[in-house]
Amino acid sequence: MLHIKILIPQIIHDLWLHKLRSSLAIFCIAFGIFAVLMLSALGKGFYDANNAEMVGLADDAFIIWQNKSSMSSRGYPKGKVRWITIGDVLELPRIFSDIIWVSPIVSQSAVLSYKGRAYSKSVTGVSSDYIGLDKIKLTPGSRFINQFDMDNAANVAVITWRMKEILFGNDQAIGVKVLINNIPFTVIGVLSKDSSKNHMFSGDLLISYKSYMSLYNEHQAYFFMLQTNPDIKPEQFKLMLRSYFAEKCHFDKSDDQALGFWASSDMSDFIKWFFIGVQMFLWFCGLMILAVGSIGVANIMFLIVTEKTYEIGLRKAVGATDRQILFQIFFESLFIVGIGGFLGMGASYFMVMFLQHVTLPGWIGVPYLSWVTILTTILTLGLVGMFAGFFPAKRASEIDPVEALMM
Amino acid sequence: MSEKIIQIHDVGKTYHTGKIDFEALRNINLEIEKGDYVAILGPSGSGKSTLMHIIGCLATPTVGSYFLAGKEVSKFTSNDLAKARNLYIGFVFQKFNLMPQMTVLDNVSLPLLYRGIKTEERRSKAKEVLEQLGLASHLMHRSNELSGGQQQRVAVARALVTNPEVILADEPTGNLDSKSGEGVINLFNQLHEGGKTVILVTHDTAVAKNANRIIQIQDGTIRV
Repeated sequence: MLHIKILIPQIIHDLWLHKLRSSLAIFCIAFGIFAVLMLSALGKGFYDANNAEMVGLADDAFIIWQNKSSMSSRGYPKGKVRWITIGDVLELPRIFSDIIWVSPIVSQSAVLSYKGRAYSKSVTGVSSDYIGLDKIKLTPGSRFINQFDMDNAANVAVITWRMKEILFGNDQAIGVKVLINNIPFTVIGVLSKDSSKNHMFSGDLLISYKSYMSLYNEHQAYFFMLQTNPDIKPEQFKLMLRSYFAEKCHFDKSDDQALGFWASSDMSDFIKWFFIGVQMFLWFCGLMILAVGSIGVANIMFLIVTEKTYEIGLRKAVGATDRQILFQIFFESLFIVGIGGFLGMGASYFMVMFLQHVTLPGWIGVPYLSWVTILTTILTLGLVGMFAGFFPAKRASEIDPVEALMM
Repeated sequence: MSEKIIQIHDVGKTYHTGKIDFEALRNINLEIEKGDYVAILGPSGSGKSTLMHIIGCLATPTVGSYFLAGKEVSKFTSNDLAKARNLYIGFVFQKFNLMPQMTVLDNVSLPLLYRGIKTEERRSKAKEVLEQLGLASHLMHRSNELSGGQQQRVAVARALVTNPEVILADEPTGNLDSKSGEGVINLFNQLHEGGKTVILVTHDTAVAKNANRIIQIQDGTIRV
């Protein structure tokens, strides 16, 4: 094939002859690559920062609730069921070895009193596993309800950040006693500001289910949460659990209405596709810029081919084949696109490095470039170069040497 | 018995421009032997350039057959024609046709590039030919830094570098002053004396007289 060592100075000479057009085409390619990589890097950082927050639950977690049955079963009429109790829920890990964490979630309103002031607030009873299931975070110095609290039916409470501000302002909350329906509870934890906004059940106070049961004399578990072993498939687990409760609570195991499920995998799938959609959109935007750049390069190459018609004719006269001319023009296009791509990649690399060292708002996350992104971009760049070069190169290769030499 | 390097039988060339057909050549029969010194003489528009294009494998005839070094090039593909040009023909053009952005050495070594010869060998061969033509001191000059006569000598060097069977010169003195023109013609005379087949295409009778054989062409046919 043609000798690249000879071609490169010629290409540089050609580019220099069309400084403005060449630099604009190179800029377009560089900016396109910069845009693609930066949008991708920001998209990835954004995804990482927000995915966990948006799902809000542990991986492989389920929220389960019971409804009235929608069909009769074994002599029990439609709508008549035995309700799931807190005891049933707590028994589940013993029956299903795939269950790692489980917590009933039972809520009622309560009168909360502190320093003579009373507030109507929502109280939620949970187990110690709830902290892991709902991925909540506590402020420094706080702790969550533990096994000891549950075993001893200790009257302890974890409050939201908003409750802490209402009740205590800037004062210390941990260790302070508050009254819930006139029963004293010790505040042992305060949810972090983010967790207070995002936690799954927007109650104001979390107490142990045991305290809840004695406070309200309530045993029914309206909702419960659990986390399974990641090896078990969500659909398989749903079937197993529905069959189990169908037997226990007198509904038909094919009754989809009787037991409701919401799996974190449903949400994470949705979020995953949502973010893929966002990233595809960002890629598309970058590709549009690249497309403009490639048209610019193709334009430059057409111009170069037109201006070099005589030279191409001469090269053919001294023995250049159509394929050699095609390669030469093609290589020139790839060279221009390569320079643009290199500049764009360099710029985006330094920009990402810079952004990794500055403090950005939490929702933006930390942008980063993955190897997959870089390799995909290089591949795209190659395609852009080929697209930009092919048509001018084809035109050049088809130049008739006789006509070219007459110019 | 001399070997025939060029054999043209009943060649015609017609150009189609829109609805009009223009017959540039008709019934051309021509044989040139190896080592011949031939001038194709004719006025402007006579068809001599078309004949040169066919002889030089830049174009193929519409009818008839053309054998170059025993091969029927009139049926060659575009790529085969390019290879034939590189192997058998050395062109010298009226306007020199050097590449201004390249050095004299690179200009001369260009045909070897398309033969796939390595850089060092290419440069060495080009340097050797340039030295033979008295251009050793101009190797690294750009072509536009040379006089017309020097540029045409560089063009001759480029034609010779592949050691082709045929040197095909199209109005080689057309862009030169009389002194430089004379120098270039002397160069062709020397090449002929050295055994090369030289074909001069010209409208200038004085130039044509240097050749051993003059083929006159008029209105697309050879005048007997």
